[in-house]
Amino acid sequence: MKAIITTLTIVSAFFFFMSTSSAQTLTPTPTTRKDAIKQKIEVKKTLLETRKEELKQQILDKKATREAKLAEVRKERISTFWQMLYNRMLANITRLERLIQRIETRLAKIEENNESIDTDNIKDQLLNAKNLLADAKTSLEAANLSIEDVLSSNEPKAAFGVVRNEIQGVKTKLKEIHSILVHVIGDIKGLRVGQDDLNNATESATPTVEVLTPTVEASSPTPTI
Amino acid sequence: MALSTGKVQIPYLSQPTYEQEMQNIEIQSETDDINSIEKDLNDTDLQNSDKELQDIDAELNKAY
Repeated sequence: MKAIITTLTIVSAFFFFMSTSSAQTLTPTPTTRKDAIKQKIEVKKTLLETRKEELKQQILDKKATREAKLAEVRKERISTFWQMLYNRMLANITRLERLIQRIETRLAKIEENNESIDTDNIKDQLLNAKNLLADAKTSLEAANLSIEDVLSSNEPKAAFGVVRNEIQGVKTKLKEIHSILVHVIGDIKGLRVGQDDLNNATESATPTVEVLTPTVEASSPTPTI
Repeated sequence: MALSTGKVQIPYLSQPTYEQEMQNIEIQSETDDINSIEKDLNDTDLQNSDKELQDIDAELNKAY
């Protein structure tokens, strides 16, 4: 009887041990469950961060594309304005060139009819005007050559400052030439010569100068985007 | 008798276009008589010769 009881006790103990062991394997302990949830949260968090970064990058890319497009539009508009400015300046230079030629033709006629007359001072003034005109033309061409680099630079606003100064210098020279020519006309009128020497008009006194045609679409002086 | 209160037409003072301005610069007399030269000289307006500088500055100053 004692042996039977002992055997039953051992068998019960064995089954109890087995059941406890298998229960431990199938059902996680509270600590393991917590870790799993924590891990899930971490994964979700990482995914969210990645998505957030992707969206951020997409926005930045879109912004960069938009800015590049606007910069290109702005460059085109400035190029158009520059072409208009360049053509206008060049036309004014040509106009003053023709005026000087006409004055020289008139002066030559006066000298021809009045050999003793002194025109040295007038000629000096005209030479000065012609030199200033040549300088103005050189400056304008230099500015025109640099404009593409200016617009492509990282700091176009600062770079354009140099070109602006150059153009303002050209304008100052043109005004100075104009002032000299006004003075020259006064001096020629003051010469002791007859009215015929001043006003016997000759058509086509100057060689035909090629008339500038603006290369810019003149119908749209203020381009619109 | 009541006066008609029709629409008042405000005269539109149009700015010369770029073509007109260029034409004014390019055209001058071909004669060499002193009065014609003087007239063309007086008609030479250099004040606006750098007009587009303002437009360029405006473009460069634009904040996009």
